[in-house]
Amino acid sequence: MTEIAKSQPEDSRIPGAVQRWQRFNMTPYLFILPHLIFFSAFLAWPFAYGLYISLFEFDFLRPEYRPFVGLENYLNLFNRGSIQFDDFWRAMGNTGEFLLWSVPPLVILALLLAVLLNGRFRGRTIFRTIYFAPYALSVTVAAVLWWWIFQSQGGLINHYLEQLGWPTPNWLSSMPEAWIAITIATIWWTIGFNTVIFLAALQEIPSSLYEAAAIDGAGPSQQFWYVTIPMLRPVLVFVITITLIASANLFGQPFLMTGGGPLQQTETVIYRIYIEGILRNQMGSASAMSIFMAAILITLTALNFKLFGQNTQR
Amino acid sequence: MKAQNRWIFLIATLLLVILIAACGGSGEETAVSEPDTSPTTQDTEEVNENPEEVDAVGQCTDALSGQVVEMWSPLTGPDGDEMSGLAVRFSEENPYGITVNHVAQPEYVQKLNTAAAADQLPTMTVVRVINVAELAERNVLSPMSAATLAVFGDGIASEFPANVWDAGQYAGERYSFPLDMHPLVMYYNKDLFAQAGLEEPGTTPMTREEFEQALQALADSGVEPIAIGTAFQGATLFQSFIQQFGGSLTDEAGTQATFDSEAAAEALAYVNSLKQQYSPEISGGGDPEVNVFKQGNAAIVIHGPWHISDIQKLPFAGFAPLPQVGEQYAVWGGSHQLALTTDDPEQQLAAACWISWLSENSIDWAKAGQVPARNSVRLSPELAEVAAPIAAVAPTTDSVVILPQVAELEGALWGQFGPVVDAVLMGEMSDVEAGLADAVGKSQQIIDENKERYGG
Repeated sequence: MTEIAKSQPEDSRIPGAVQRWQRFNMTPYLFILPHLIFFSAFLAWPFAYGLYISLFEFDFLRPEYRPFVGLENYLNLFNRGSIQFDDFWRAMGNTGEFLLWSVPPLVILALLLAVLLNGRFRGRTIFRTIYFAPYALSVTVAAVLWWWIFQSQGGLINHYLEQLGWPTPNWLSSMPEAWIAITIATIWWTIGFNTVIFLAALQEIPSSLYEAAAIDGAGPSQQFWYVTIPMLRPVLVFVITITLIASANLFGQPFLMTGGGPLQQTETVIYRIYIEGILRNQMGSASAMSIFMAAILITLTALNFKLFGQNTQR
Repeated sequence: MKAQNRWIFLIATLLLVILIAACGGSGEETAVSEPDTSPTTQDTEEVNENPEEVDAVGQCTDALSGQVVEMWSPLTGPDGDEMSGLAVRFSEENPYGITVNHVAQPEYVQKLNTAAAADQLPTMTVVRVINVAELAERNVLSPMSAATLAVFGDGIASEFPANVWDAGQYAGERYSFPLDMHPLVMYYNKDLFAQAGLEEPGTTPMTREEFEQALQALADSGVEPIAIGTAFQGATLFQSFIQQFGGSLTDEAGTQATFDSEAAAEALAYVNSLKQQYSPEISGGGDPEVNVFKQGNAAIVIHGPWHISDIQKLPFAGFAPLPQVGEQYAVWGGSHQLALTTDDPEQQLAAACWISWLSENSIDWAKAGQVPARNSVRLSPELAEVAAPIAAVAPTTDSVVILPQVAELEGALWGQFGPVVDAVLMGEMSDVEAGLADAVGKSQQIIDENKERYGG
């Protein structure tokens, strides 16, 4: 690649304005163009427009009333007396709590599953498909399914608990049962994705490393800790990052399973943004919340790469 | 070189397409602002011009032949099928050649909002009365023109209870026409009542003594007397009793939140005492309390009339109005109303012809589990034959408390007292007065902010 880049200008060193184009190599830009188009249309532009909206009191159906409020929508998030303060920070706390519930199992269980599925046994392709299958469902299907399983009046789980003579909690309307229900639904629904990424990474690890470790007398658990984990490190960082982001964006499961309850304790930030923007018609304030949330996620991601991504070979 | 030029040309075209697409996206919003602001001004002119023309025409005529009325609604249950059936019947029977298509939409307010932004609104929609002011302010609903109102005739207002007719009036314009009302219903289990040696409640609301004696008798007979949950049910019981005890959620203008009164605290304490004394432990969304009743595990449940169509299939089910436990009778309820989403004069007229027909034939709508708003239909003896459960609660509709027509008022109130009611009923809050006082403060703040946004 570098050779071509070097040789090209020499060949075309003819004076003139048109020839300048030739020095500029189009190929890489053409390759990223398809993504760039969609990125601009569906990410960059909405993000920029969101930034713009967040400086106004904005209702998209009332162009006649759209006052510029500067940073007020952001300041409201830090002003104890504002309408948004209590609800927003409760939602932030709830989201943080869900991260603690969901990220460890989503990463650790996915890794264990991947190691299992990486083994040689009959029908492993079928199992790989089965574990990945729920990910193909929409959040609506997954959440409604689990609502039926967990709901307290005649739900599947309570039905069996009752037959066993065990207590039957109100899964979706008491704490911490509601988080447990949402976490289980989320793990069932999304763990396939993380598993597949881990699986791909596991298959990249050269078997010679395991052979060498085995010759040195390492057992299966030592092989796991001293070969698998270090080799997986970059992928691990990546998976933790996307899981953090996905979990921080939790919305569909509480929306459909608990309605944000009990007592707004499963009302997440995205849920709050939905209420603020869609139900209260306060798009400006909702945009400010989104931008603030995005800033936090970007910081978390950067920290994650900085702390865990060091010493990577790649 | 030529090849490269072609590439550049291709990219440039692509970029142009994107730009145009992007402009289309943002242009949409400017497009929203234009039709939305200009037609309103245009329309007032049109409205002023048209009356003579239409007064001459008078009513529904063949001139409307070929008009297609598209109606959206939030009626996604069995009531939606009933409504579609009525639309088909009207389309076949009316002599003017008007066709009505009914489309039931979940999250209909959001659908209307996006349709308005994309300039894709239908002809009309069924609205919950509580959404009228907000949708009118946000340029989704169009006021009914004088010509349109003429279709209904002069004395139309006297055909409805004042509370429900007045609710369709906003900012000096008529935005909606009442179709039905839906007060809370007391569903009871005839078998369990008989077991406890109780007489069945009639169509007159039980008094507080009768109600409490019945609950006690049911408890003594070894059954769960009443199913009281949280969420919607807790909040609507609270709203009913606050009025019965002489309080209110707001002042008459809807500018002042007033649910921190003694009556409010009393109402909440009363709902809570019923729950603690007489109800199994139930909470959460999805109306679990209704399921408990359906399974025969509680003798009474008080809930919306939309459960009638399901519950009347149960052999043990009986229907009665909400008891009167306070000084004056009041019951929480809502109303489905018919509103227009177009300014087009002919479309408005065609829609008005259908509305008029639907209202006159709303005895059939009672089968769908709603109380017809029209007096002549609601008070007719036929109602008891067609829909006995509806007839049992029909007399309470005069006492349905409808909030003042102020944009986003229900959200400003319910969003704050709802969590307090839930917290008290779930035993997470013991100081009822302090909880309500805190909630009233926040409600007031939101009401003030809404007032600033919507003017008024």
